[in-house]
Amino acid sequence: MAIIPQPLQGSFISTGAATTIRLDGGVDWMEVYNFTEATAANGSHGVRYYWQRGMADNNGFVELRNAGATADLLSTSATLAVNGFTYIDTSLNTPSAPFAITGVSAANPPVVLSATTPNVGDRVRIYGLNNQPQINGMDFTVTAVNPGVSFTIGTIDLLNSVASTAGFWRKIPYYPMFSPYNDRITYVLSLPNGLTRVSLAITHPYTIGQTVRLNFPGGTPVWGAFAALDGIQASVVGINTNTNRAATEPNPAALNNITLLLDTSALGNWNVFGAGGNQVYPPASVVPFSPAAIVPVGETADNTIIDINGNPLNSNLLDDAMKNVSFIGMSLGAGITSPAGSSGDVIFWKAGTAYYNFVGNNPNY
Amino acid sequence: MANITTSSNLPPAILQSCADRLLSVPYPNLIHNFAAYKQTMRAQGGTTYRMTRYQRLPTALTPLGNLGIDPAPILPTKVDIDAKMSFYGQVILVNEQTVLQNQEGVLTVLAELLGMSLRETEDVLTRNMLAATSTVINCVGGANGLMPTEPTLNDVSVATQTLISNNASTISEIIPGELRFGSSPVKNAFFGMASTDMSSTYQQVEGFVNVSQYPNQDRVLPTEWGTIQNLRILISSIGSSTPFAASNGSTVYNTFITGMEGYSIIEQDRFSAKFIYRPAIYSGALAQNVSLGWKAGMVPRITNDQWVLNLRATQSF
Repeated sequence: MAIIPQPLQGSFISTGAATTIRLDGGVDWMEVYNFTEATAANGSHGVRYYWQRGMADNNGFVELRNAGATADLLSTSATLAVNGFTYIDTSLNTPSAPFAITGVSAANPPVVLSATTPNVGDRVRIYGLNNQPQINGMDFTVTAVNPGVSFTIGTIDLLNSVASTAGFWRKIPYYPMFSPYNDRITYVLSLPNGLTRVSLAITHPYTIGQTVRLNFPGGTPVWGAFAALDGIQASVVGINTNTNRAATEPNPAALNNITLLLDTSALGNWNVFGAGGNQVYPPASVVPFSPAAIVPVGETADNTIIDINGNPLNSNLLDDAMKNVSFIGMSLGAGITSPAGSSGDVIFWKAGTAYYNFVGNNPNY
Repeated sequence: MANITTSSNLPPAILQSCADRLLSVPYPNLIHNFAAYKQTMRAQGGTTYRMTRYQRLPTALTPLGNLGIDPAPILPTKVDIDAKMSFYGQVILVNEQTVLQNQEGVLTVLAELLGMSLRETEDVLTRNMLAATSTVINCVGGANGLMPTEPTLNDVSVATQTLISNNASTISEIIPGELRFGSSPVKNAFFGMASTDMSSTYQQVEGFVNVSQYPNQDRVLPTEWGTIQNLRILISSIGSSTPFAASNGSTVYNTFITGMEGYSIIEQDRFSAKFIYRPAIYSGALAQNVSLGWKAGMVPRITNDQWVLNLRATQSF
């Protein structure tokens, strides 16, 4: 019996966006066929794609129609300057190289000026800001991008802080490998009916029915009245994972948040930090401090609690289960000459591991 | 003139001698599972292990009075804590010619390395779970100007006080003082799991007692570095760190401090650690290749988030 190779295959309909395919057991080669393009005669559109271990990230062979769609050509993703295949292993979360920040606005939302920009939804780590040290070292989910100019970290409000003119950011490729993970609190908003909305810095993993705990280390000198929430446990009765800044601007409290069965009406407004009582996050003057955070506790085992949609919490859910969500796979770029194709394209793929990977032009085994 | 016979004239037929022993493999301390509460999920028990904690009931401080009226009943509550089992494995294929021709016992060495791989995998999984899900406190009392700062006695005291206030139990008992010059008694303590990169920084914390100063050396753990008040610190080169997460972009080091039963490792019954050797006869018509590997089913999980915390710090230099 053969132990390896182990081929996998599958198909999907393109959404027009980059697609990640999970490939358990690893991958040494991958072929992708665009069935829709194969049955069409679109000039300069890709039909078949191939990647093999040893190729650079975001590259691969591209077999595409010529301009007149009368013959097939062979090229590469790099030559065509398009996105190709990118091997991923999410258990290896190595930050990117640093990119310079030339400004962070003291605004809602904060806009980060950088000649290199990430994508919406990316997780970025910001540090070295000269005037806003209160967020140095924190991670945020990017909520809007002006390519090559700036990006927005819309999950925090830095109104009335002092704008920065220098700093750095790095992309953190993946979210933590164990989920549900902890997250930093950036905004607390009291709602009617004994509810509280808590906004979080990176895309949160929580679901309705979970129990979480709020941590506000440092007491009232840092958190004012909200220090009273330190150690409080509460049930999640509503969630919002929206990180699309354009859809909700300019309200960070509407982005990436969870609603808790917790009455915070006696604590007053959140946005009263700083000497002027008008900042929306602890000011630079309290640095160093510990950011407030939320941590997973478990599953609320009480079906008498009603969520914000009017449904009872189902204590038999296992959404809170701690699990390792890391995987090995391939990210396929999208577009007319990229393996994930264009919206509606029918894509077939096969991938596998090799028996042996020779390196060099004169294998001696 | 005399002719001198040298090894150039008469070269040795065999140019090398193999050492009697293989050199040691660098191997990290495994510190992250030491304090875990070990549990087993039975076979045929589904995909997820459910643990349940009832919440403490309130006290009843008001007298009942003499009217014979019962107090309003209270509603107990509980929280379920779930962990989904995952399976891991590592395999090596060896051609029979390697086994036949190599001087050392290749399969024996590889079996030993696979054992190490299994245990290190378990340790790193627990480390990563603690980093992703535990309560976080930054050190703020230091003077290095960063956020977080280097650890101080006050930072350690805040961390241990937090655990004590949350009713966490210490793990190790007191090591009483003895009449030995330079020794110091060791308090009952929580355990902290730290990176070796923090070893010198912790040594500079006020009140640090190196293991060499423990009055009873029989009670020193092999991976232990020292103690600060109610914290005993274990160190490993695979201790947790978060790159570029300090205010200036330097590395933040995570010290996971835990009390008794703060986190658990759930192993799959009949699957906790399997070493699998398949002789070449299974590999094909000519029986050329041997396979050996390990597989295991396990999942780490914090069982009480108030009994484990991550004390984040930077180095003091």
